[in-house]
Amino acid sequence: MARALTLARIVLLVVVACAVLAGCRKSDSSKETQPTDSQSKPSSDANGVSDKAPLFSDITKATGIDFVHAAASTVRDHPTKHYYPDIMAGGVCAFDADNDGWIDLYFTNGSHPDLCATSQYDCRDRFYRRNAAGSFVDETDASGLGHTGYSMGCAVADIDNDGDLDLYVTAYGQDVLYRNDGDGTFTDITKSSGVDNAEWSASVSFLDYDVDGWLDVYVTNYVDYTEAVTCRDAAGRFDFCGPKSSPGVADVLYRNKGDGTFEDKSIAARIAAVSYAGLGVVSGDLDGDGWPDIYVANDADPNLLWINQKDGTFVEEALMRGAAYNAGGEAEAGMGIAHGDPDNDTRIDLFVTHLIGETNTFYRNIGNGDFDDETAITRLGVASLDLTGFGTAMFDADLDGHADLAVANGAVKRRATPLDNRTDFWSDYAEPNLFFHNLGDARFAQPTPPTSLSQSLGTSRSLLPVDIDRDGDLDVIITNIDHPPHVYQTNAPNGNHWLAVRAVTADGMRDAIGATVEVVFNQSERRTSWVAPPGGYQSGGESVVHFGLGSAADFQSLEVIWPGGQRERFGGGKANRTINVQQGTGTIVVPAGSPG
Amino acid sequence: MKIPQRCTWVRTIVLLAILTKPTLSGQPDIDLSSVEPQVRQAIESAHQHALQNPSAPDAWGRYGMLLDAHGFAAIAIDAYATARQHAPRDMRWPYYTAVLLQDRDATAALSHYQAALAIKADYAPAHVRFARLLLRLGREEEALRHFRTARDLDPESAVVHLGIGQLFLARGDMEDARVSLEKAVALQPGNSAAHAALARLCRRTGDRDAALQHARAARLSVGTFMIEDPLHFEVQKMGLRIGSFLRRGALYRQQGKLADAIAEYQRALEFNPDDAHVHASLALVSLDQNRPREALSHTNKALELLPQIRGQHALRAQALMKLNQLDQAEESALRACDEDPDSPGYLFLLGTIRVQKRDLQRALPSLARAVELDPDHLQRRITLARTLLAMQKSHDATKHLESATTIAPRNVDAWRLLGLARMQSSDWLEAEEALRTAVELGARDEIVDRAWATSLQKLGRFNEAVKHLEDSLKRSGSDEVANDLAWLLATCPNDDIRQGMRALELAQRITQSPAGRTPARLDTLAASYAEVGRFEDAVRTIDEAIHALPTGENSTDSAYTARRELYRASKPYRSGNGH
Repeated sequence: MARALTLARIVLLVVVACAVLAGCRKSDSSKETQPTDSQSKPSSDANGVSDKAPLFSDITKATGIDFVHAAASTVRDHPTKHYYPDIMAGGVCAFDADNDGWIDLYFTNGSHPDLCATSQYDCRDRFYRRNAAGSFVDETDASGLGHTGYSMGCAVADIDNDGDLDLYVTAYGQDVLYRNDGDGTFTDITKSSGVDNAEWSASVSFLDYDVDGWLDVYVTNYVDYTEAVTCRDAAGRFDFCGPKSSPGVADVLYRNKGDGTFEDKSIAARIAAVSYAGLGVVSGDLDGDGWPDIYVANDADPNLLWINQKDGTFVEEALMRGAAYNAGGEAEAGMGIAHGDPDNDTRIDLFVTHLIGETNTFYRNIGNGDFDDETAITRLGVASLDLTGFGTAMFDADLDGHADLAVANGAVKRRATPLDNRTDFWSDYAEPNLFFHNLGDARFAQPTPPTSLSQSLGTSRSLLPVDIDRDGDLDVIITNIDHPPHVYQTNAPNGNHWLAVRAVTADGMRDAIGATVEVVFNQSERRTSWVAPPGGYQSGGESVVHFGLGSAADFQSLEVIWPGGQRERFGGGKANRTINVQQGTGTIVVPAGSPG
Repeated sequence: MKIPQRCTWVRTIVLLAILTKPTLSGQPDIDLSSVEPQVRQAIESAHQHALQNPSAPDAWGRYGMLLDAHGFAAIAIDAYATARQHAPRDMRWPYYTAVLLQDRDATAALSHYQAALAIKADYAPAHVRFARLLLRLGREEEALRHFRTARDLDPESAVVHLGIGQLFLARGDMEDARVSLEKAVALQPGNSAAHAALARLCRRTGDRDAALQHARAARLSVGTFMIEDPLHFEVQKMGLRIGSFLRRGALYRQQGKLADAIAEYQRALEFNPDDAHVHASLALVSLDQNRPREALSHTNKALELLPQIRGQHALRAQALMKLNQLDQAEESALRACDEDPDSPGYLFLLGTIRVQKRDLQRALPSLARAVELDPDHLQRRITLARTLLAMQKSHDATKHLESATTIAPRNVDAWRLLGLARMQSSDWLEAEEALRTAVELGARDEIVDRAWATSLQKLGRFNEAVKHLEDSLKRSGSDEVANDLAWLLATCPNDDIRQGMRALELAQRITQSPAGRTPARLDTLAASYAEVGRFEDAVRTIDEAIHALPTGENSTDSAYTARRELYRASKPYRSGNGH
């Protein structure tokens, strides 16, 4: 039944697409093809623009989400027990699990297995389905989800090209892979799939690195920690360990064989050659050759930039491309990664969050896969000095046409000066989050007065922009250690327009992860984004591309560079809607200077 | 819970810290309940002392430094402010405040640096730290000015040249960047940040090979060297935690002050005798001091306390190698390689141990892989070449030694071995060139002298060979050199070169003692006798040489026998087929 529903939906999509195409077909074959409107979505706000203020509203209570992250360190209340995984944990995935058009949520729960076995705490990961009334209901049991291990983060993508999103959960221990059965239920296929990563893993990036049509999996592994290792702060008090207390572990790359199984290609692809403390990861075409590359943030080790060699292997070139160290030549404590194009030069830049005492770092893509640390120019650094950043995302919150930036913060060591005057275990680690508004020239500023997103204190980890209410702007979910998550509804200013693009593969079965989408509006303005799941730290979601168009109520064209490098153009249309573009239905664009 | 805007909050704290008087209660206004006893005691005592001497800047300063060293930033700033009130001309208090704030609130740190430099403008480390802060704030011109001042004050500081180079690189001023960065590398060859910046620069200027080379060097280098800041080191010295002792010990070790390093580590052990990292550090410094037994004891203890601690198997292997316990050393080296299979250092260690075990066949792959992973490491390449030479693989050895002379064109050892490798391949012309270079660069050992003279002889340049051997003999007085010279003077086909009597004199001198009557020297003596016409003595002596030959030296035996026939026929060596 589940498969039938999915197929029915796909058939509908194809029919709609064909109808639109037929309607637009002209005798002149050079005319650009119109993208298709997506299946009608249950949005209540047709133009997607709201005049509500302020920019973010904390709607956590209203969502009905009652999840509270459990952390063993707190519960044990023992001065020596600072379980290292606790301080790194807490992911969220936001995706339409049951194909009803609405976003559902999955939260990872990172508690110590002994604790889970003996206490009253519910240590399971939790799955919330959005119901018709617009609130979220815990359906962990019914869904077949709810991993009970020491979970860290999660990611979603369609690994079997059946049109629904499957779920990967990273853990301190064995990772878990769930197949979406299409009806909102999931099956644990870890064993049969060959995914056997038992290291302490953090984040996942799905990519089709060999461009064979099947999504492969890159998993960052952190350190080889055991509980025997204890650490203290500068005054000698027990505290959480840092990455140098334990050896780093090589990341892992699983190749999707297309038959429901994966093979570990870490060694063959040369990924296994480096054993660093990996945390955040993103993938996409960074050097402009059309093939997906991989960028990894490592904690206190140089970051990695794996350049795809198009033969199943990668070469690590972060150092000489300027993306391994900051401008001072220092390896920083890389946690999360945001990617985007805040300077609107059509090249994807990178932003990496770091430890207190270090700034977060903005790596500007200057072309050809080379980067410059332009943190000072963007003014993103100084505000982060006294904070430890984790989850981060670049997204156009106010839809003004320029990507903004948000960071989830929370200390990993007891703060020298606590910011939270409560006296519970985590108050020493609590920090405010950050939101930066793009001033339009790739310089950023924190709004005054600060947004609610940057006012609440917590030990935050994942940060995920996702259009929960399907109103066109991206809302934000932030997880907090030992506390409930925060859900912020974004209220983009009235008058700003948007466009969401779902770029799908030639067979229409799944999102074309690894593609790059460029939209042209106001006749000549271009905005660029990867087709990639959001979330550069232990989180994941749908790979829908969101553009803010400012005052432009329509757009002139779209261009998509598909994985492998082929570029196609699609015609323009009205803004404030989600459109589908399918590989092979546009007009192929041959870049100037190319043979043929 | 809601808080006011963060920047406002930090500024408020800083402002309060500077403007308000410190707490005058008996206890510091911090929770010290879970702090280690020695830290708590020291802080409380310093606080009491400050309270008893409220106008004494050093008392407040010391209290601040103790707090600073143990992570109590806000109250440390408070104490520094009080110290500054009472000693406004003491640079330390604004400087320490600035350093403390630099990584927390960059804007607030600015005025403190300015105040510190207004008091003492000739302190280079303060200029460097201030320049870095200004860079963070995007104030490049001012940063450059302070870097340049620091360079004027301390022209040999790699960190200063690095900062200037990085700044130029960020501006796209490639040539100026290159000059500064190369200077930094010249001053500190292991500075990873300088190599990283040069890798970027070379890639952007199209020199991919150099970019790769610098990228490799950056990865394999120790790290970014911190600026030496004796003033701020006084704060670090206040640290009473094990981590503080470890940091100071590492710094002393880096400066070559091994006794000071050990003193720091021993103090750490007083607080916790079971800290694996302290034992690991002591193992390292014991090896530096060539005390392998102590190193072994500490590394064993470190591994017992924390089996997954990194680097200990390698240290253990080194200690065991020094103690000549080679099987155990090899086992530890293998475990180190398991820990990090691509560590050139560990692979080299394993190879070296196998060389010591005379297991060259198994040593070779480890050494070769170590060189492959770190091609610019001279010593490893030379050791690999030496091993190849010992295995008679002179062609491969030559390749590595040619690379070595490219990496380090003035390295005597590389040229010396290259000459020997080429000799082994009978490439006499190239051998002579390499050996001559070695001598020109200062090689003054007997082996080079003899090898060079041999090459010269093979090239027919007998005059030069004689002159070189005469010089060498004067310098070293070596019997082996005398033997070579005597042989040449007795047997040279060139009549102008041969000097029978001089040869005989030398040969007799080196065969006077029973230990000197080796087959080779007797052979020379016999040739000398023959050259001066004393054929009976020649026959008797060559017979003695034949008897002295170890069994199995068949080819030499037959050569000597042939000479005996020559001498019996009253013919000198030169008349035979030997030439």
